[in-house]
Amino acid sequence: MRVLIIEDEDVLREQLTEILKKEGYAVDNSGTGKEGLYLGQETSYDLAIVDIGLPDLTGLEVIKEWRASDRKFPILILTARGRWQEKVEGLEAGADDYLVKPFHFEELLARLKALVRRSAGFSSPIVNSGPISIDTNAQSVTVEGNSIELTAFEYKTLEYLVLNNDKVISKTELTEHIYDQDFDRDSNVIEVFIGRLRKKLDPKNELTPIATLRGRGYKYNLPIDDQ
Amino acid sequence: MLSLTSRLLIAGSIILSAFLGLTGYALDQTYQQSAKKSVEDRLLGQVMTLIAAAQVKLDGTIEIPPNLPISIFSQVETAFYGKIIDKDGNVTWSSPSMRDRDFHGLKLNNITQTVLTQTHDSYGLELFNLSYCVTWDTVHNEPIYTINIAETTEAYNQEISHFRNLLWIWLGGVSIVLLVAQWIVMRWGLSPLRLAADEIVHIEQGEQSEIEGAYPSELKTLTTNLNALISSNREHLTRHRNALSDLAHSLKTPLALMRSAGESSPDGDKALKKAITQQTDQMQQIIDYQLQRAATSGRIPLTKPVEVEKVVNKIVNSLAKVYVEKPINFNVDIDKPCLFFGDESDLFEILGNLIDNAFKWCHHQVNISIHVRSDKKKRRYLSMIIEDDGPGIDKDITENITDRGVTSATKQGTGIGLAIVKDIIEAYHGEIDINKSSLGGASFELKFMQYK
Repeated sequence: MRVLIIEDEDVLREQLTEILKKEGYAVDNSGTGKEGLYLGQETSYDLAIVDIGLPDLTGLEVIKEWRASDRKFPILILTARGRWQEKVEGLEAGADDYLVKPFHFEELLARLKALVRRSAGFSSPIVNSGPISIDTNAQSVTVEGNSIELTAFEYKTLEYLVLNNDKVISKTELTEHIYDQDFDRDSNVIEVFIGRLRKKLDPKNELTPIATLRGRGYKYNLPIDDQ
Repeated sequence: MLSLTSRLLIAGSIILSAFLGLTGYALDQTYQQSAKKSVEDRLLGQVMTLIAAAQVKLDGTIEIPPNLPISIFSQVETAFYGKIIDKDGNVTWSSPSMRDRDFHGLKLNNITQTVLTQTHDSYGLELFNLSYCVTWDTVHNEPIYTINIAETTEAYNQEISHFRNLLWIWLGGVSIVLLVAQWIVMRWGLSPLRLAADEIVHIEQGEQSEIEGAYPSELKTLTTNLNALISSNREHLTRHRNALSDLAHSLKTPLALMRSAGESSPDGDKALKKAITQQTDQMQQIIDYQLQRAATSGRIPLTKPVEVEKVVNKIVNSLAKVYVEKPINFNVDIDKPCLFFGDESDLFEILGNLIDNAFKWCHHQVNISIHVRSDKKKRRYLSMIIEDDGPGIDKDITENITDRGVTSATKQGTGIGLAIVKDIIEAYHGEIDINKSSLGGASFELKFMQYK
C-alpha cells in the first residue's frame, strides 16, 4: 500500500512516515500543499493523509483538485481545530474520514486500514475467500482455520492482490505499492514472494489462489465471499 | 412611544394653529379698529354738516333750519340721528329722523373733546354715538354745546362679520394647505430614516451585508459607523476564531508529539507512559473545550439567520460517508423554512456533535426532527430533537454533564461533545433535555426561544 502524507509540521510528518513504514506501508511525504497536490496527481496512491491547515494551498483545495481530476484514492484529513464546520467541509470536498489532532497512532492505523478496505469494496475487516481468511486488522491469514505465518512483505503482497482481485496486477504495480521508493525495482523478489505465498496458502496445489498471466502480471484467482 | 412622524406632525400642528389663531385675532382687531375709525369719520362729517348749517344767535342759542342742505337727518329711513345738548344738559335740538325714538346723548364740557361711544336707542337698537363739543367765540359767553350724531351699528356689524367670514375661510384654507405641505415635507425629510430602517431589516434577513444606500450628511455618520460596526463585528469574530485556532494548533502539535514520544518509546516506565497518555488526552480535551467556548459567538444582532435544513443535510451526508459500514436508517423531518438565529459555525457544532453521537451509538435508527413550535404563551421557538435506538445515556452521566460540564465529562471519558453542546446552547439562552427516546436510545431535545 502506497500512502501519501501531506503535513507541514516536520516532526509529526517524520513520525507518521516512520510509523507507517514500520507498519509495512510504502510512504511518500510532503510538507507543502503544492508539492503534495502534484504527487497525488502524478502517482497512483492507495491512500492519502492530508492536514487541513497547510501553509500554501489548504488541504481542502488539494482534495478538491484531486477529486476534480478523478483521483479516487481514499483520503483521511487531519484537523487541529476540530470544529464541525471544518470536518464537514473536508468530507464534502471529497475526504472519506477525519481525525482530530492530536490522535492516537493506533486510531490512525485502524482508520487507514478501514479506508483501504472500504475503497476496495470490502465491508468487513475479515475477507473470506473459500478456505482462506484474511484479517486486515490483525494482518493475519488462516487457511481452513489454521493460522499461517507470513512475513510482512508476503502479507502486503497477498492483501494487495486480494483487495484488487478484479484486476490483473503487474509486477511494477506490486513493487510500487508495496515497497518504498528506494527499493530496487528490477529485483525478481516479487516472484519469490508469489512462489512462497502459493506454497503457504495452497500446500497441496489444489486451489491455485494466485494466477500468473504471462507478460501481464498476477491475479487473485479465488472468489471472494460476501463482499 | 410616539413615532417621529407623529411627533413632528403634532408639534407642527400646534405651532401652526397657534400662529394662525394669533394672526386671525390680530387681523380681526385691526380691522375692527379701522372700521370704527371710518364710522367716526363718517359721523364727524355729519357733525361738520350740522355745524355749517347751524345759525348761532347773539344770546348764544343755536338754531338749525328745518330744511337742512343735506336731508339725511330729516328722512325717516336714514340711519343718522342728531341731537344737540347745551351745557345744562338740555336738548336744544334733535333731528327729525329721531321721530319718537330717543338715545342717550353725552354732555361734554371741554371743547377739545370728541368721544365715540356705543349706546342704544329707546327701542334697544345698537348705535354708535359721536359726541363733539363746540363753542363759537364770536358769541358772547361762548356757549358750550355737545353735538351728538348717532348711527345704527348694523352696517358696521355686517361689515365686520363679512370680514370675519372671509378671514376664517382664508385662514382655514391656508391651514389645510400648510398641514398637507408639512406632511409631505416630513415624509420627504424622514425618508432616509425609513430607508435606513428598511436596509437594517434586509441585513437582518441576510439579503444584504451592509447599508448600501446614499444618505444625507446628518445620517451619513450614523450609517458609516453602523457599517463599520457590522464589519468589525464580523472581522472580530473571524480574527478571534483564527487566533484561537492558531493557538490550539500550536499547542496541539507539541501535545501530539509528546504523546507519541511517550507511546513509542521502547524502553520507558510503563506508569510514566500511561500518565503521559492520560494527561495529554485530558489536556487535549480541555483545549478543545475552551477553544469551543471562546469561539461560540451566541446571538449577534444584524447577522443572517442560518437555514437549519442545509446544515443538517451537510452533516448527515458527511457522516453517512464516515459511517458507511454501519447500516443506518435516518429519518430527517424539518420544517421549511426553518431558521436558526445565530452563527452557522455554532449550529454546526451543536448538530455535528449530537448527530455524530446518534450515528455512533445507534443500532440502526436515527431520527432528526426540527420544527418551529409555539408555547402556551404563543411565543414561537425552534425545537430540535435528535434520537437513536442505541443503549441510551445513563441518567447520572447526563446530569453530571449538564450540571458540571467538561470536568466530569473528561473524567468519565464520555468525551466533551455534550459539554460543548450544552455550553453553546447556554450562550443562546436555549434549553437541552436528555431523555429516553421512544426508539429505545437517547433523545436530545433542544429549544431555542425568540423565533421571529
